[in-house]
Amino acid sequence: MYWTVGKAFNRSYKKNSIVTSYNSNFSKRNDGNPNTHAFVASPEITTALAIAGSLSFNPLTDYLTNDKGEKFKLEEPLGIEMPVKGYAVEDAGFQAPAEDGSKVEVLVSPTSDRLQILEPFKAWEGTDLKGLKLLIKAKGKCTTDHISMAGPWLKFRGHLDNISNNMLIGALNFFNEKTDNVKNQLTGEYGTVPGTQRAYKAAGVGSVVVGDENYGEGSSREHAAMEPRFLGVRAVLVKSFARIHETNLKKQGMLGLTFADKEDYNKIQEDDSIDIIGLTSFAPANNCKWFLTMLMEHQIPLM
Amino acid sequence: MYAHLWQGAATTAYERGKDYVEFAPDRVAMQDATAQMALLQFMQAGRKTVAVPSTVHCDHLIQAEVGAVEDLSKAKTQNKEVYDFLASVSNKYGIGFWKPGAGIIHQVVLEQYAFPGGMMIGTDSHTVNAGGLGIIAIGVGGADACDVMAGLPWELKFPKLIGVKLTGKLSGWTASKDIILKVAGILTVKGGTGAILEYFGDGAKSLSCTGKGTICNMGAEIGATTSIFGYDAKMGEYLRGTGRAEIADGADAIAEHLTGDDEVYANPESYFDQVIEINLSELEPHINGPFTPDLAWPISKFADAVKVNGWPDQMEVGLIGSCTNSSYEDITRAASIAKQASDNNFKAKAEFIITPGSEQVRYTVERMVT
Repeated sequence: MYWTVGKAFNRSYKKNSIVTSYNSNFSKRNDGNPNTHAFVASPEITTALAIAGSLSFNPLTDYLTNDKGEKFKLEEPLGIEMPVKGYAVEDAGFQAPAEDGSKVEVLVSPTSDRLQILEPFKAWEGTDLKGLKLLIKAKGKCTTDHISMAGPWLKFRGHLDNISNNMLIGALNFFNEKTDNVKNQLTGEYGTVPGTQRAYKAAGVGSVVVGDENYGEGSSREHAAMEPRFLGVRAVLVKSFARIHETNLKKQGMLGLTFADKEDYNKIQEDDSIDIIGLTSFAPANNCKWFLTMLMEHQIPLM
Repeated sequence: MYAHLWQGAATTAYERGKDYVEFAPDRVAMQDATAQMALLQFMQAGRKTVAVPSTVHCDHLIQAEVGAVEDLSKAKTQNKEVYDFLASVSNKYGIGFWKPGAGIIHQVVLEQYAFPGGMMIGTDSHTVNAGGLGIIAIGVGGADACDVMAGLPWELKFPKLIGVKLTGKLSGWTASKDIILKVAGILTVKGGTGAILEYFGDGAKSLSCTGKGTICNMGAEIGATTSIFGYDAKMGEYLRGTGRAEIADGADAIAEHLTGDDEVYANPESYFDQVIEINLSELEPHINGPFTPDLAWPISKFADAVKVNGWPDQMEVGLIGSCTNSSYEDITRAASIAKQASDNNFKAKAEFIITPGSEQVRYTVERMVT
């Protein structure tokens, strides 16, 4: 639950303390200020400390003094577990669904930049895949946040085309150690990852993403799997996958492949064209070395 | 867990922390941010309605900034197209839709949908809050929600079990919150990973249902898959108090199957992977932090810690509510403290902000004071 408190206080980023009865108090969680010392306590302790205005106030032992100089101690809290007259509400804010929804129209504007009705992805053409271009060989850690960044992008989470403009922009390019900067093999020029991939898609050329260990760790965000499928990446080939991301890729109809020998990651070159061979004889029975690929002159066995 | 297998009756024992198992959840709850792509995908499944009862809750897109009325109105303007989409897609496919302002997803789920012995998934890490009503409630991503709504099985690594035995009884300033603050201090933010925390013992039975919810809610902060209490009289009371007497009657009729067996709770070490014991009669109020929820300070040691560590002693603001602690009981306990300050002509030194968990709690509290 991300309940931001934001502008009510702390616009100055000064060092300060707050106490909440919330669940989380990680840095910047409540107000975006890294200098806010956030503490978590029960509602009654939070209230007592807010009244005293001091972290070191202990309501069990300490006294408060009012403006008239009168000292008093807070008595133990008294709660009511269940309202005596029962719970009540005028309008709970619930809309029950239609008995028969078949005539109901789903409201999405075709010009919306936050929502877009999905079209089914193109089915597999039934052949091996030839002449795929390397889009990026990601170096090191590549979490779902590197693949589909959060923050300002979250407002596009209902619009696959728009959110795809964040695809892999956080991933480190193995060959130049830069993020969001890869070689377009068709032009020889360097550009953004989504831009380069859109150029491949426009040219009708498939591509491959290569990754390191535990590729796709982090959140279960499905956009990280939908975006490459949507933009025409044909396979994600890695040393190892984070399990949930591998499952998500396969659910989106992506080929999620791992090197049979992790050392082969080092053979992948920036200008590689890649063929994925053996797809037509793909079967659960031969569960090892399902595919062979040819990368330039190399043949790399996959699992 | 074995009562919710996709295959039906169990035929084998699974190895905890190792085997991946398919389950059949009874419900799905989605918040408005993650629901968008889940439902856009569900539309492609070619179904007339969702396969299991499902709900959408518009809470995450509201930014708390100024106050309830202004913030809600701003959110309704800024997010109109998203709300219109979610309302219409819910209407079409048989999904219950909770409008912006109706409340925080986990509080609404506890008030309306959670039931003892069930299993549900929700697209938010604090879905686990519903464990306070004896349901296995687990936070997932939108893709999992989409699968379950489309009638597919849901896969999970069979969790380990951590038993938390509660003896004694809470009193005075100590609240349910202090139990989970203590547990967080013991297990740390990673200690619950891949595990279900099961609370039991006489101390557990004495806790209010919403207090149990608070404890389960914060299980997410220690990485727990979920947390749960066995069905007891307090849950029955809460079900009846929230207009669900039929469910309470049904649960009472099979109560012995909705909690652990006596021999398990008598010898927890033989059944749980890890056992923690807390005596509630000796438990002090805790304050956890800063920056991480597992730095647990009993209140008697906290003032020294503030001084030694040089944390700013002056408190700027106190906030109560959110999905963790915004029950009727929480708000009345906090109010009883605030009233004493007011009765003694003492003006609060820090700013104070309250976020009630649901419209039902807000309305009921307001009715009490007017």
